[in-house]
Parts: sequence; C-alpha cells; structure tokens
Amino acid sequence: MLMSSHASKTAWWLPEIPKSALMRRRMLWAYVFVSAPIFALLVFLLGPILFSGWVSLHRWDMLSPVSDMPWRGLSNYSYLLTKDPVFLKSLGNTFLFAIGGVGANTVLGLGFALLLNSRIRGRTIWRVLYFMPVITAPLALAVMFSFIFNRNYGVVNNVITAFGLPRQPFLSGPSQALMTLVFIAIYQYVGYYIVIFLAGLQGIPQDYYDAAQVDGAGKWQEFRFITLPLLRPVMLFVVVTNTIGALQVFDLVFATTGGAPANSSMTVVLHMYNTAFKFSRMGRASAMAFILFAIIMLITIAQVRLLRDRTYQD
Amino acid sequence: MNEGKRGRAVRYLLVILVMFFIIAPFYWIYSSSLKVSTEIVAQSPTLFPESITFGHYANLLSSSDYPIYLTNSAIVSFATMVITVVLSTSAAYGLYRLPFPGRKTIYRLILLAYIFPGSLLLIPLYVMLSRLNLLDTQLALVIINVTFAAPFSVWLLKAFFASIPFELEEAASLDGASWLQTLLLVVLPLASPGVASVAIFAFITSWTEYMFASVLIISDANRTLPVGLAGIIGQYVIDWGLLLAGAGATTLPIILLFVLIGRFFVNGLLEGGVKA
Repeated sequence: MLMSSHASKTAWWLPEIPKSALMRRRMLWAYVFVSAPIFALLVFLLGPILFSGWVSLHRWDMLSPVSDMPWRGLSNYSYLLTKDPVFLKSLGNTFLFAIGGVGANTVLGLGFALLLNSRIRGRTIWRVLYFMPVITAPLALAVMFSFIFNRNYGVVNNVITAFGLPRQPFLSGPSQALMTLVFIAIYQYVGYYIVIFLAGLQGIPQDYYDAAQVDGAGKWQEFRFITLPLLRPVMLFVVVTNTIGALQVFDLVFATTGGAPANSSMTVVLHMYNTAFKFSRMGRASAMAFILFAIIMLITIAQVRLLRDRTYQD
Repeated sequence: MNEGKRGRAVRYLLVILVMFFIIAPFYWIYSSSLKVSTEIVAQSPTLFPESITFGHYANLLSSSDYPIYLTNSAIVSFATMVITVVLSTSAAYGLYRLPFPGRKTIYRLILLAYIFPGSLLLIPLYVMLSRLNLLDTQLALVIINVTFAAPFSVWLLKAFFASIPFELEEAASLDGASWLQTLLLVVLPLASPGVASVAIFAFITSWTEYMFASVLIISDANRTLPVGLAGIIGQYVIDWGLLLAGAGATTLPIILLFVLIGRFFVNGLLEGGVKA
C-alpha cells in the first residue's frame, strides 16, 4: 500500500480531479482549451500519418500529382524486406546503435546516480553542465567529434600514437564507425540520464531504507528490493524515450559519416531520407517509415509491459 | 565518520570526473577554434593556443551569412517558444484542472503523439507544407517545431497543474474572483516553474532542429544555424578552422542562454518528469 502510494505519484497516469459543483460548472470550457491543440494534433500528426501510409502503397516521385500515383500494393514493403540489402543493413546497424546506446546510458546513468546519491554542494551548477551536450545541436556535436576522432590529426589519435599505439580510423573505419557513433551518443546523453536517475533516487523516501536496515538487509538487498522497484517509472521513462530516439538517429550520422564507409554506419532514417530526397522514391521511403514505426511500436509496448509498475494500473 | 568523509570525497571526485568528460570536448573545440590553421592540424596538439586568433570567426562572418542564420534561428525559436507555451498551457489547464468527458482519450492521444517517431512524418509534412505553399518559409519551421514540442510540454506540465490544490480555486471563487481571474492570478503563477521549463524546452528543440529545416528551407536567406553549419560541412575543401568556428558559434548562444536560465529548465524537468 505504501509502495503504491509512492509509485502513483510518479507516473504517466492522469491526475484525478474532484467533482465539485464549481469544477462541473467550468467543464464546458475544457473543450475550448483543448480544441486548438487537438486540432493541431489531428492536422499535423494524424493526417500526415494516414497520408504516408497511402503513399507507401504507391510509386511516387513527388512531381506527378497525388491522384496519378501508380498503385503498387505491398511491393514497396516486400522489396525492402527481401531485395534491398542496404535497408536490411541499416536496420541491423540501427538496432546495434540503439542497444549499445540505450544499454550504456541506462547502466552508466543509474550507476553514477547511485554513486552520487546524496546532497552535494553546487548541485545546480553541475546539473546544468551535465546538460550541455543535450542542448548542443547534434550537427555541432558531429563537427566536434569528427575533429576529435579524425584519423590524421584528431586529438585522440595523437594521444594514442604518443603511447606508441597504431592510429585508429574511428569514424572512417568500417568496423569502428558505428561504435564511435555509439560513443558519441553516450557522451550526448549520459549526463542527462545521471540527473534524471538522481532525481528518481531522491524521490524514494529514506524511511524504506531505515526500515530495511532495522530488518538487517544488506546493500544489495536494498538495491534489489527497494531502489529498483521504486525506480521503475523512472526506468520506464529513460528506456522508452531513449530507445525511441536512438532508433531514429539521423543528424549525428548524417553529419559525421553519412552512412559510410560501405554503409557500415547507415541507419534506417538516414536511408529513408536519402531514398526520399536524393532519389525521389517517396513510396519506398514511406514504406521504410512504416516498417520502422511498427518496430518502434512493438518495442515500446514490450518495454512498457516489462517495466511498468504492477502495483499501480489504471 | 571516517567512512562518510571518504565516501564524500569519492563522490566529489566522481562529479568532477564526469564534468571533465563532458566539458573536455567543448574546451577542445573552442580552444582549437582560436588557433592558427597549422596549429589546429599539428601532430603534437597544444593544450592552449600558442597565439590567440579570431581569424576563423572573421572568416565565418565573411564567407557565410552567419548573422542571418542567427537571426533566423532566433526568430523561429522565439515564435516556437511563444506558441508552444500558449498551446500547451491551455491544453494542460483543460486536461488537468477541468473534468470533462473524453479527457482520458485526449490525454492518451497526446502521450501517443509524444512517443510517435517524429522523423517518420518528414515526407508527409513536406508534401503538405509544399501544397500549402509554405516551403522555404519560417512559418513552416515554426509549425513543425510546435508540433513536436507541444506533446512533451503538455505532459511535463501535468505535475505542476496537478500539485495546485483545488481548494485555492474554490476559495478564489468564493471571494468573488471571476473564473478568468482565478486562472490568470492563482493557477498560472503557481504553475510558472513548469511554464518556464516548457518555454526553454521549446526554444532549445527549435534551435537544434536540423532534419526538417534541411528539407523545408531552400534559400540561403531563410536558413537556420544548423542548416548553415551543414552548408559549411558540405564544402569540398575541409577548412577545420572555419568548421570549428561554425560549430562553436552555433553552440555559444544556446550555452550562454542555458547558463543563465538552464537551472529553471533542469529543475522543472525533474519536478515534472520524475519526481511529481
């Protein structure tokens, strides 16, 4: 009971509103407030999604009128899944990028948060500093790390060779490009997740730990039976939003490797972008978008099922 | 006691370690952007510039329309911020303070919009905006940025609106305050930390957005900073001094802004997203 009252405060659920006479009198106004955002949502999200689904069943170069698009049925989908090696390669790369980035950021974020979990001086300052990579345009980060990891005069290679080790290609090496991108993604978000996890940890009442200590629980047991269960909503937030973002990685790859060398760092959204805006194959690109959407949807649902707080459901 | 002291020392050391990891690349970029070209690509890197030069920044100003990009980014981001704040606060007030039928459905729709992959809308929105003759306009970018910033903003505001006691509104009403007065003078001021973080969030989202800007903007005069930077990246001859100055100058305004008001955003995000 105690557990659930804490968990209920931290959630994706809608807060209750007391049904007083005053509130009921104002009820109709709600539609006035909600109508503009809902209108925007329908026009700029739902409409485009449906349109995109329709286009994915056609062949379209964007120049001919929409009414003249030749119908192709599901052939765009079957082409992508059976005959487009670049798409399959990009799908694999995107998964690796997401698994590496989300895994590392969750573990490192939670790990550092646990180590830092207490009142520390200058909290405001270092919290803001930890956010710096998050607020930097991915394009600027791309320039930064293309320079830092440059094969010939990047500072990392200069340090490596100073120790007598061979130069590494990093972003320009087929076997290293994707891993280097994962590293940049970790750099981009790890501070942000440390701060998020820390806030989650500080929301857990100290009483639970005190009670556990009275009962003779060890550190591991405290982590396993108090910290982890109560962090579930935060964990869910971190894993779900990070995964959705990672599966759509674009800017960073576009501006560092462009998918090269030999498509070893090609990602789904970059391939979609090229297919649509370089090669004007709107139907095929839309099909890619829908395949990725289906994948993201399935993964998100699985994550929510696995991580949601079972003590509190609506 | 001893254990506690050592523990604290370790914690400070960790904070500094992570801080070093995060700041070092920024330091490297900014210090390198002040070096002369030969020093930038030297085999033995220098920790401090041997002689400070602003030549690359001067070059950036003369070879690109950086001031125009900066102005465009500022206009688009500011407009996005204002519209996002108005839309999301009004939606949040409706959703979290007024009981109406269909509330749950709309809330779920907004959550769905938040987790819906934005990049997948690139093609249909491009087609739609070109049909509306909005290609190559700043309005198109504002529409896009608001669409992507608003759902998260509504969600972020939940905790702030939910934490305001309903008794306050009842009391204000009994004291004869009109409903609009209650909203503007009681509810909104109490939710202002949330509104501030939404404003900063919308501004940053807009400032760093590249993908949509790269396809929706065609002429040089309408480019935002990230698109302008991409133009420098795409040049045949790689001029690292110019590139670093470009990346540095793109980032500097938002870092300055964040140093000034970032704590409102960080605190708001934590209050709204995790704690409450």
